[in-house]
Amino acid sequence: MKKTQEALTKKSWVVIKIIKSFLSNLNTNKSSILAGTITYLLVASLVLYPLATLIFNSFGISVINYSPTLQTYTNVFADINNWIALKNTIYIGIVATFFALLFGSSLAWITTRTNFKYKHFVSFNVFLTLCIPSYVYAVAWIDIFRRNGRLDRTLAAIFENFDYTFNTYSLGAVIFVLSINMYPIVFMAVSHALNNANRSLEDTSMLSGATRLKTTFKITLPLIVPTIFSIGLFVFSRVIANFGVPAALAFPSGIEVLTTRVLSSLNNLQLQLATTLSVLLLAISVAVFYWHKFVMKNRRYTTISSSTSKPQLIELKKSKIYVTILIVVFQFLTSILPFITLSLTSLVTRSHLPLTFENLTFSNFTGLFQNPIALRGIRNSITFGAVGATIAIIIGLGIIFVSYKTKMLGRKFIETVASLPMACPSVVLGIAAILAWSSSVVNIYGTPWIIIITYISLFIPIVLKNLAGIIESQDPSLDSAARVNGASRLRTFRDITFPSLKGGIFSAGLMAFIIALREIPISLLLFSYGNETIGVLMFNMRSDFGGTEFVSAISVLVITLTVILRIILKQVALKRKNKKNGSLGEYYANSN
Amino acid sequence: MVLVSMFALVGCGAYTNDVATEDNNVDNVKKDEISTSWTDLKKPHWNNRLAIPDATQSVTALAITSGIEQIFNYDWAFFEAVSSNNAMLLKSNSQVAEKAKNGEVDAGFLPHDGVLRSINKDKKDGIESPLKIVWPKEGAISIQRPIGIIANESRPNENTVLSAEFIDFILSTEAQEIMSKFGFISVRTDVKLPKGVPNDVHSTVVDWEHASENEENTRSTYEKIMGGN
Repeated sequence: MKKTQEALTKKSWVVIKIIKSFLSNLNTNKSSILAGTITYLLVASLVLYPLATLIFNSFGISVINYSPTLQTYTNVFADINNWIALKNTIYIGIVATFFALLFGSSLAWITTRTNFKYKHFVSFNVFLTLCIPSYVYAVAWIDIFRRNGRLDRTLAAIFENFDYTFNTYSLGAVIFVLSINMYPIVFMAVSHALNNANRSLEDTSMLSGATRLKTTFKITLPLIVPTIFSIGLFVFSRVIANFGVPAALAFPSGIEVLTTRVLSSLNNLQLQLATTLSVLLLAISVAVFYWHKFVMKNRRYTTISSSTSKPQLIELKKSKIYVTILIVVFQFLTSILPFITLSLTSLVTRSHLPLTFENLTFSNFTGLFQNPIALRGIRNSITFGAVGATIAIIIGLGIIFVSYKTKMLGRKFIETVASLPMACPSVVLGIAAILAWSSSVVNIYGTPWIIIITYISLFIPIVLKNLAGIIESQDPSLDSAARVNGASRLRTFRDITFPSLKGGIFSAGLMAFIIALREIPISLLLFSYGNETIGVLMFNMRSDFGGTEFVSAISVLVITLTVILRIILKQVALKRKNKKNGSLGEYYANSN
Repeated sequence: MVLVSMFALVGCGAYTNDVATEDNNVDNVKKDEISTSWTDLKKPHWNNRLAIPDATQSVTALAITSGIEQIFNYDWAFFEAVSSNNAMLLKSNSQVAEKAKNGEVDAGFLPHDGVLRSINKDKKDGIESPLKIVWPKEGAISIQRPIGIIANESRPNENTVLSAEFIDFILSTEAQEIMSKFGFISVRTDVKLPKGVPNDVHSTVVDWEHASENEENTRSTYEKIMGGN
C-alpha cells in the first residue's frame, strides 16, 4: 500500500514537472494552441466522457453494447418505489430550502440592519456550522436523539420511569439537519446583498414616514428577493444531491430518496436501475442549477452603495432581549452542542457506558493512528485530496488560459462543460465513474485513480470559480504590454497573469482539500480494499472494529482539521481583499 | 458488488458456514422478555426496540430474509409483525450489533460471527460486552459465506494454477482454523466450533436453489412490507 502511495505522489510530481517544462520551453504561438488542445482533451475525457457514458448507458447504449431502448425509463416509472423516492426528494428539497432561507435571511437581516449586539457570536457560529460536514451533523443528531442517547439518558436521570418514544429516523430529521447545514450559505449570500444594497433608499423611506415594518417589506425585501430566490434554487439543488444525511436518518425507517435509492439498487446488483435513476437525478439537478445561474445573471443590481454616511440601525428596544436569547439558543443548539456531544462520545471507552471519570479515554483518538485501516483511510483522503486538487488546479489553469487569453474555437463550451460537475450530485459522478472507468476499454476500477479522477472533475469548477473572478478584474493592458514586447500568449500567461492568480489557486486548493476530508458518496461507490477514505470509515461503522465512539472520534478530527484549514482560508481571503469574487465557488465548496 | 457483473467468477463455493442468530442486549432487557425463538420477535414489547439488516441494502440480509421466509413456509406474518414493531433497517449486519450495543435497540438478528468479534474485542479492552447471543428454538439459519476468485483473461495460467492452490489453502485445516478464530463455522469436521458457539447448536438448512429462483419475489414482498414504516 505504501508503495502505491509513493508511486502516486511520484506520478503526480512527474505530471507537474512535465507541465512546468512545457510552460517554460515552448514560447511560440503554436505552443498555446497545443496547451489549448491538451486542455480540451483532458476536459473531454475527465468530465464529458463519464457523464456522456452515463447518459448513453441509461438508454442502453455503451461501447460494448448497442441496443437503444426506452425500456429502462418505463421500468423506472413502473415501480411505485421510485415515484415515492422522487416525491421524498422534492419534498425534503422544498422544505429544507424553506427553513434554510428562513434561518439564514432573518439572521442576515438582524445582523446587518438592527442594533443586535452579538454579531461576532453569530459569525463565529456560522463559521463553526460551515466546518461541520452534513453527515457529521447526522451522526450528532443520532447521538443526541437516539434511544439511550444523550437526551434520553439525561431525561431518564431527571424523571423516574421515563419512557422515551421520539422517532430518531424520519424525513423531518433529514430536513432539520439539512436546513441547519445549509443556512450559513443563505446567511452569507443575503448578508452580502444587504451590505451592498443602497441603504439611503431605506433611510428615505423612513424619513418619508413609513414605519420600520413597512420599509422592511416595501424596500429592503424587494432589494434582496432576487438573491433569496437564486440562493434558494442553489440550496435546493444541494439538498436533493445530498446522500449521507438521508442514508443515515431516513434509511433506517425504510424511507428512500433518489440518492439513497441509487445506492440500494447498486447493492442489489441492479446497475441499469442505478444508471437510469442517476440520469433522472442529474436532469433535475442540472435544470435547477442552471435556473439558479440564469436568475443570478439577470439579477437587477438596483444600486451599489456609495454613500459614506453610516445608515441608521433599527433599534430593537423591548424585543432585543428576546431576539438575543432566540439567536443565542438557536446557534448554541445547532453548532456548539453537536460538537460538544460528539466530543463527549469520542472520549468514552464505549458509547453505552456512562460519562464517568473511569470511562474517560483518549484511546479512540490514538486508535485512529494505530489501527491500520483507520490510518490508511486518513492517509488516503489526504493523498487523494492533495493529488486531485493539484491536477484540478493545473487543468483549471489551462481552461482559464484558453477561455480568457485565446480565441480558440469552443473555449466557452469547454468552460461550461468543466463547470458541469458543480450541478451534479456526487452519487451521480460516482455511478458515471463506474460506467466510464471500469469498462473493457479502460479499467481503473479497484485503483486509487478512479477516485482521484472523479475528485478532479469535482474540484475543477472550484478552481474555475476562484480564478475567473480574479482574471476578470485584471487590466487587459498588462497583457498587451507583454505581447507588444514580444512575449507569446503562454509566456504572458506565465509571467503576467499567473502571479496574480496565486492567492486564488491556494484558496481553491484548500477548498478542494476540505471537500476531500468530508466526501462520502464518491469514495463509497468507488473504493476497494486498500483505498478506503475517511468518508468510507465514517459511513461503514462496525461494531467489531470501531463503533459509535470511533465514528465520533473521526468526526471530531474532521471538524478540527476543517476549522484549521478554514482559518487559513480566511487569512488568505483577507489578504486578497476580494471576498466577493468566487463566491459561488465558495457556496459550492461549503455545501458539499 | 459491481465486479460481479464485470468479470467472470472462476471459483465460488461454501468455504465457511455462518449461522444467523438473534442477538439480545441483555442489560436493557428484562428476563422474561428475552426471545428464545424467531416468533418471539413478533411480540409487541419489542416495539421500537428492534433492528434488522436491510435486505434492500445488504445481500447477506437478503439471504437471511430468504432463510426466514422458508422457516415460516413463505408466510410473511413474521416480517409484518417486525415492521409494525418499527424495526430499524440497517445497511449492514455489523450495524445491528453496534446499535444493540450502544443501547439504541435491544434485539435483532444477524450472523453470529460479527457479534463474537465484537464481544472478543470488548473483552480484550477489559470491558464486559452488553451483547448476548440467543440461538432460536426453530433453528438458526445457516448461511454460506462464499469466497470469489476473479478471473483475469490475460493470465490464463494463474487462473487455473494459482486458484487451485488458493482453494486448497482455503480448505486446509490451517486456513479453516483462522476462519474459526474470526467466528466463522468451518466446513471441515476436524476444525472446532468457534468459542461462543455451543456444540449442540441447532440450525436449519435453507434451500438456496429455490431461494435464488424466488429472489425477485422475496425482494419485492420485503420492500412492500418494510418500506416507509
